[in-house]
Amino acid sequence: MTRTRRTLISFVALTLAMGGVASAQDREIRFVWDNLEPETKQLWHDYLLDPFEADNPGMKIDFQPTPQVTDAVRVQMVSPTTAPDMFMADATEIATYVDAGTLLPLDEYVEKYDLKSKVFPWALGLGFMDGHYYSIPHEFEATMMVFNKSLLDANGWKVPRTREEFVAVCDAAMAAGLICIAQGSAGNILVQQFAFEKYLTNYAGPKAVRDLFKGAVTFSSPDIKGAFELLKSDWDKGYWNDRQSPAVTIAQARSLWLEQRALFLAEGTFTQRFIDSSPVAFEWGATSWPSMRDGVPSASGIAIGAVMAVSKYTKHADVAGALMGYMYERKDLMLEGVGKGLQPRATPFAISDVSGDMAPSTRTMLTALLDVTKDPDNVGYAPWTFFPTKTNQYLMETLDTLFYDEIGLDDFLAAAQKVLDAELADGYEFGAP
Amino acid sequence: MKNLLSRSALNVILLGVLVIHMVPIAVIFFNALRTNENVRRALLSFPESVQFDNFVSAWTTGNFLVAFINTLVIGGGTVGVVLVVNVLAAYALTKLPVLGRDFFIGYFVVAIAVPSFAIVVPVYFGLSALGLVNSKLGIIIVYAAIFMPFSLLLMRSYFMGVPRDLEEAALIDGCSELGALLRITLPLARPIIVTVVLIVFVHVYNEFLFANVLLQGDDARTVALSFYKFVGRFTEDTATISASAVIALAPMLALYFLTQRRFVEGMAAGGLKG
Amino acid sequence: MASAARNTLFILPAFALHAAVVSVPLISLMFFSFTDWNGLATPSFVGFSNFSRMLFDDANFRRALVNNVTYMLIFLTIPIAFGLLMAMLTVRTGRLQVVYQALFFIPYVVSPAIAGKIFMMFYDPYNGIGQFFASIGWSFLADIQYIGNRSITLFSIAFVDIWHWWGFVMVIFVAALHQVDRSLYEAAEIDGATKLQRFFHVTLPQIRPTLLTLITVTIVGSFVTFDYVYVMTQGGPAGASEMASTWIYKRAFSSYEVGYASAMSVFVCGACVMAYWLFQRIRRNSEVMP
Repeated sequence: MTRTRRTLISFVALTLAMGGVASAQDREIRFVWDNLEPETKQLWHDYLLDPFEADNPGMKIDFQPTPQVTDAVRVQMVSPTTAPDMFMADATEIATYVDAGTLLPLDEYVEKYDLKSKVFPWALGLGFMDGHYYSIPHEFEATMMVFNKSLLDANGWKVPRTREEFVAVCDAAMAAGLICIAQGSAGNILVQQFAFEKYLTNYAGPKAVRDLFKGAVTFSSPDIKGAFELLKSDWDKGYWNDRQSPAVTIAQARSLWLEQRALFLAEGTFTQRFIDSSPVAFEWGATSWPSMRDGVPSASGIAIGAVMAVSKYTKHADVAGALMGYMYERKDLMLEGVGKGLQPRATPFAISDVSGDMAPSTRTMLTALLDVTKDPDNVGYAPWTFFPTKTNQYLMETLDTLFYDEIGLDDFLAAAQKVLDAELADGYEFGAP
Repeated sequence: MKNLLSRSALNVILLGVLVIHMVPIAVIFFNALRTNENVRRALLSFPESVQFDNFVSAWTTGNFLVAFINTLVIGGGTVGVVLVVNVLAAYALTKLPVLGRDFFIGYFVVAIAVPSFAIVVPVYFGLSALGLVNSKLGIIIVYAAIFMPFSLLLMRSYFMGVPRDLEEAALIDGCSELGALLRITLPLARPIIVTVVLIVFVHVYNEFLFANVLLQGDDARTVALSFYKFVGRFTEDTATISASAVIALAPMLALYFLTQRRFVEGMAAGGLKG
Repeated sequence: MASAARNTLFILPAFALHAAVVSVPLISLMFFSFTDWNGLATPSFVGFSNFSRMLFDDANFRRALVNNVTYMLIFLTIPIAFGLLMAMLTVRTGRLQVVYQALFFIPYVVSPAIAGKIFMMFYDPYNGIGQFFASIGWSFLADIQYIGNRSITLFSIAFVDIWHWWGFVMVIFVAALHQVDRSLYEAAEIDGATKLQRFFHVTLPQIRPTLLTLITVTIVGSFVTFDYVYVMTQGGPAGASEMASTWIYKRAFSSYEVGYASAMSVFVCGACVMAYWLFQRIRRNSEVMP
């Protein structure tokens, strides 16, 4: 009996000792991200996490894709001991965390890993507030009109680039029994951003949007009002999923496009993940949304899909910093990952840099991304990256109320302005020069 | 009634309702066997060809084995705590003179109406201060507290049906109330215990919000969270989700069928009395 | 009585556990409802402004409350009536009734997330149950816009919850029906009562305690309805299915207005307690009457 007990005790002691030794050497951080499709998660491991750990012995990343990540992180950040070390957020959320004093300033890592020369200045600037860097951009994306080329060709229609062409194609499509733009926001109001951004960028124009969020003009100014008015009237005409968009989920809407019952998807470069995971039986393409008004060039909203921030309470800030630096240092790994379908980070690259055997869909979307972002003077602003949080939330939540005529356009805009004024007073600053 | 509605007519009606009632479950099972493309084309259809790929991919990427074990442990712990506190409380509220009885009954009934997300932030903060975040003990405590009121109601109804004379006989023999509870009432309460086990386990099994916030990392997750792995922010592969749903549902259904005889007994003897 | 106080010890573990985990946080919510807390930074006191905004300035909250009441009325009628009807049919099937109960109960174990997703697929106007109805020629059913038609969105969502819940109600009623003394029916039959009279004069009064408790649980539970609405429509389209809980959730988590959300939570909780208390009064008074 005692012999067994002694063996047991020594075994336990040895295990504890080994565990203790192991943890003394390994410094691990908890990195919380959005829920990822299984294939994407594997790509993260292959092209970032595993190489990082191999190149940095002693540093470990506990990568945790989490559904409803924004809500989960908000709750978890309440307590120092259990906050995640590093987490994903939308660019516009960072301000609240900074105001609450919960984020670690990242200046030393920006310096150490020379991020200023590697990351797009406008993207890096998004995380600069109160004199410090608080977030590092991650996914670089742009809003897109994704179209079914085969269906357009079969009907003798061109990819629309102007307002006239757009109206012509949409009217013809509806007459032919097709859906013009497949979109569904049921159960997911984030989708509404894809709609109003395109009109703000291509009717009001980027400068008007800038002026709006700097407080120089209001929502009721002619350009901005005109954009919403046009969106509403297009919705009334049935262009947006036959007036069903608030009643259909985005998955259902995308199915319609996949089944060739709709011409366009109003989304972004991130749509590529969906296209990759479902066999597309036709030729498709992506480009910027057509101009919605004479004199306003067609442009896409530039975006940072997610940023990374580090909690002030982390015990291993250097590991977090090293990971962020590694992301931009190892451009080769990033390019390989991009070739396999990962979204690119906010760093310049050319299509030729990416490995040769890309899937055609990857190539199509990447080419489109680089195309719409090549002219820095002609880009719009994606709401999830640039718009103030509460105003954006109001727009997303209330857009369908506008569609259903439950609120008048003027009231809608006035209420949006009210929310924006409060945020401007609170210190919100538009993130682009 | 027996004359007008013959047994067979009755069964026809009930079977008819049953078939319609089961359609959603059948659809989940059928769609799990189909491909995503086929489901996209026609939602309701018998499987064109039976293929188990969805199950394989759902099982591996969902990390379901670990999730099942976690859920079993957490569910078991929660059930244990709930049973202990509820048996005591139900006994007192039905059999004994209690100071503030109406208050307590009202308290527990209204307790059913507290939405869990309203308290998630303070609860998280409290657990964090106690070092119980990302621990099974922490979430067991939370679940036990949240799911106890409804099952207390059920248990109370059942105990009301156990004649007081039986316990009083034991009291006369020199037993304490607690002794009477343990020796007389409890053995008779097996059916309702099974009922409570099932109901509480169902709620633990399906709970998402607290699990997502309190359990961090793949190894700690429960089945409810594993199911969500297939629901991206914008994407949804219907057939894969159906397979994931089947995997998630299957053990719950199995547990239910194993216990349903006792469960129905427990409900039959207790029901739901004020 | 000293022993009455002592007996309270039996209840203490349950009460203490629940109070510590639920009630204490709720009390902290009451405190936060007077602040402008955003969930992270230090809150600052704002007096009653949250409450006045909620009552006078928030049309969405008012609409959500109306939806809550509608939902409650749906659940006070349909599942209870249907569950009782089915229970009465089932008890007459002899040995099969255990099987029926077992099968009808199954949806109760399906999680709201799964059920919500499945029914959203059914409600797809392009590839849902409408297509099935069209294929069998029932075009009048095929064209229903379950989610898109905003006057029925809430009912479409409630349908899923009813599907989930009525099996449970039925099992409860079967239990209650079994506890009715057979001799009462025989006596009534001897007195010449018709089936309908037997129902109203024997069955209903005998299952009254169960019925009343079920009503209480329904009333109280309808204040919290969240899961199905959130998974399916998040309160849309255009607020057609907005409930107090989804509105509160959005304010707390999406626009960082935790103080305001707390005020609304306090209000809803208070309304629930009032509803319970009112119902208990009505119940007590009706019991006193002959």
